[in-house]
Amino acid sequence: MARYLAARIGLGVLTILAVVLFTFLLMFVVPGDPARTIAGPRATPQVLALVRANLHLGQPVLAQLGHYLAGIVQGDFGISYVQKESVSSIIGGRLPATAELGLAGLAVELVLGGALGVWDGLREKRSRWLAVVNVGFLSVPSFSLGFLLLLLFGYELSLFPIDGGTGGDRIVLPALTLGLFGMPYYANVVRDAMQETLAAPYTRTAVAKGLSRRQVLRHHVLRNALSPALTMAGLDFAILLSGVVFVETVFDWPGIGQLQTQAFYNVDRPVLMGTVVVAAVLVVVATLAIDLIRMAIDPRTRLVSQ
Amino acid sequence: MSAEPLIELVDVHKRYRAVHALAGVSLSVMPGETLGIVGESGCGKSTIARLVMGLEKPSGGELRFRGEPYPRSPRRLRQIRRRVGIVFQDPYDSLDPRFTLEHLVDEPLRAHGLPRGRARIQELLTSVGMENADLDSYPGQYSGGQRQRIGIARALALEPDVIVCDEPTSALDVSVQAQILNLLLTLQRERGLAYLFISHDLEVVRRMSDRLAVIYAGTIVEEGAAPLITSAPSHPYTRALLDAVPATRPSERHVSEPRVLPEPLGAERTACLFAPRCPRRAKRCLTDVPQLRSHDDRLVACHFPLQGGDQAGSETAAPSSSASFQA
Amino acid sequence: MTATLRSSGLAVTDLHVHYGERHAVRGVSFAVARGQTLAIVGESGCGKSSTALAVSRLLPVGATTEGSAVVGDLDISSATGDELRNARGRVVAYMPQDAMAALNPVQSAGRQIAEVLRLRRGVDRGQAAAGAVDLLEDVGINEPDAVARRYAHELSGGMRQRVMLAIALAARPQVLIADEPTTALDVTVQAGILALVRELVVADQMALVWITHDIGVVAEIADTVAIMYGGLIVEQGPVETIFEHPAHPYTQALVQSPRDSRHAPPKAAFNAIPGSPPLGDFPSGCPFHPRCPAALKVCPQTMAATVELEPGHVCACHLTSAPA
Repeated sequence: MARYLAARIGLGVLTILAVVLFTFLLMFVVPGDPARTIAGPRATPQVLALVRANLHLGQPVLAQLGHYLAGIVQGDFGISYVQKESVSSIIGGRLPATAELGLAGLAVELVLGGALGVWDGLREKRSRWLAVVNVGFLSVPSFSLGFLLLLLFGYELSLFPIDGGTGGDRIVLPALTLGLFGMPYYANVVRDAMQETLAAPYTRTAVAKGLSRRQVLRHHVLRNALSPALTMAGLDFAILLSGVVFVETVFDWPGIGQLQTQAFYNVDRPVLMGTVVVAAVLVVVATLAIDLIRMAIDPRTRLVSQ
Repeated sequence: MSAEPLIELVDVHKRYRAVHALAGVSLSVMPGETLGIVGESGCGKSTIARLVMGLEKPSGGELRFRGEPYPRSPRRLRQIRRRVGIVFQDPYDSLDPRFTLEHLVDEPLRAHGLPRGRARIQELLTSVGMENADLDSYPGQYSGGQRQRIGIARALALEPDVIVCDEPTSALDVSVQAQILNLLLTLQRERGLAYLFISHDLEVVRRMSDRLAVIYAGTIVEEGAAPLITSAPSHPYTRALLDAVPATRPSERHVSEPRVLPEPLGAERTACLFAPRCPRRAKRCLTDVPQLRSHDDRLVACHFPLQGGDQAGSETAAPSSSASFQA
Repeated sequence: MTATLRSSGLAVTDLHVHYGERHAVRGVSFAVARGQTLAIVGESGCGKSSTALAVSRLLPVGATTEGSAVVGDLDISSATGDELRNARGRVVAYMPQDAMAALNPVQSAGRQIAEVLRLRRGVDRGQAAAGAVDLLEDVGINEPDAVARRYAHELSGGMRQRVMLAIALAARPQVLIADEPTTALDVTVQAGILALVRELVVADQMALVWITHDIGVVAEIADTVAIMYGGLIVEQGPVETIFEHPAHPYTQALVQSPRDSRHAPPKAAFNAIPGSPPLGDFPSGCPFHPRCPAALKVCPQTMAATVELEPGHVCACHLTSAPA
């Protein structure tokens, strides 16, 4: 187990390192002079030179990368060109909002999708209603869904505030947009797993024991039926995060996604890179967490560790 | 005595990660003879089939066909596959349900560039007792026994020298098993085929084979003439396999006391891999690896082989004399 | 064990099973006393597994049954709701062929046994865990503590089947229905389980119904035998009678061929019944007539009546029922 964990963490670190390298190199393709962006259009050549020195811009690429990596290890992502503040404190300030939205979206996706899947799986015939809903959500692209929700519940019905920012029920629409996109997938996966589990010989064993339907479902069916959805969630987390970027922008949600979009338009290199690295860390940590949960639920997946 | 074996395995090893599936197996199949391989699930008998078919490569040792080592290049390995046919265990899985009989039997002919045509396919199907089959029908229309016949026709198409039969009747109904076994016997008589006949069913292997190799945990524990080994086994494991075959009448019930100990949970390290389950094990079995050696007209890998008529430690299989059980 | 307990075995009368249009079991009747073993023998599609599932009330949704299966004063076939639930495990327990699939993959073996003790016998958690270990020991497992903690995929085939047996026995059933429980096992492992079950049937005074295609297993374990073909019982009687004086041509072939085989030299032809067992639609009249070496003119037209040849030995064959 310890060896497996160590290997997984090592792999995660490598992944993050690869992301850093890749984005760092990409940044050199981006046009524009960072020193001028920071110092402003009217800066004197002396000021520009000073900024360049501070940012190690004059040094070879490898040396710059070294400085950058050394900084990251200490939690230092540099200074934002635009806000002139430490990138780590900017990201740190926005992390709670993104975490809140991400978890709420995941909850909509998993809990709502799981519940629908369980409900539909228990019926002998597939619910037509759910099929329509599923196809509906599957065929509407995530961004149109966001605008639709915003228009319908925000402007027309005025059920939810649309003034941007966090707090109160402002979370509802963005979380729905984020979660409803993946929800049908989970509803389908759970539904199929439910049907399979209900027909499985071990469920028959449970019935043959004389357990009540409730006991059969609780002790034998549900845990087995939810395991594939968790596997999917592990694979899916990166997609959920990419949805966050878009949803935060549409709903003016002050999180990391929005920050990343702004940084992109401002060519704010340190912030852009910081958000990418943080996203990579989030994905690595989340996949590991989901894997651990899965291993706790399904002993067969622990085989990997031996 | 034909001088040259068709197929030879020389000290063959096969490892899958941590699992040592075959640990030094040497055997040979002579032209026209049947070598039976018997053992329990997971003993490595199917690994032997895959190696002989050239579907996998050994981790150590050598396979030879007519004295020549198996070639490394896939193209030249194909030529060996032409000479070595296979009949699979599961007639339901081994035939693609989307293809007609004609297509299925034609497939090996086409793949190896042999003379083709409906007449040839009809002839092949006739040779396996399917003369009335419609060439345009699909395998889904046939019973397990008939599908196994189609599988045998496919194997015969390349006119192989030897056919690997990997549990060819295990998936069939008892009344159908006999038909397939009879067909295999007839084909061997008519065509001088050699068989490598793999099964867990000792009774079937005994009746099909000239020689018999008993495998336990990836090694041969006993090998010799089939009638000799099955009537007077030398290895306690062979004895245990024979003892476990159910009676043919209620008055001869004998499996009341299992003569082989159940597999222990923990990985007990013993020199003889069978020792943890052996009723005759002694100290030496925990320290010395028994080598396959000549004993009583056969090869046996046991420090304390059973002597002819010596049944100590395990009751006789002859049900009439087994008085050791109680109601 | 009291006489009343012993008397309440299983009595099945005129049982039919339909899967939609398909009439898989066409009226079978048999009885097993407690402390006795009935073996139901037949090939694929003969209806033996459907019979087992019907008596255990475990048929899939969509299957319908007629007839009765009575244990004591309870008709299992018509029980519903709590009455049925209470009967499961206690009155009738079921043991399937594929233990790997029948064990919950995400629960330890011990927990799955303890569940029965806890929920069906009202034992508390700690006692149930200990009871599960005891049961594992009863079914001949050497290190019951360690096995109790393991999951299905960590056990050998024989151990898994013993765990299934422990689950089946946990609520002390009056009747145990075992559907080919040793078919997938190696012979050495099968031998151990056969010996164990034979002992338990007598010790616990269970009525055991053992479904199998292997006539050798029947010789080892059965007190009485029912031979099924084409959804019908074609012959039924005490095990000695079935093996020594089989009346039906199908029984004769089943019983005789392994015996001939033991004495046959290598490479001699096997005794074979031509054709293969019917799947789906059964032939008209006697379903065995297309394969029967002694078929009469009447055989394809009508099924022979079941006739008692001697007390306890019945056969449904025109050769034995009609005077020549």
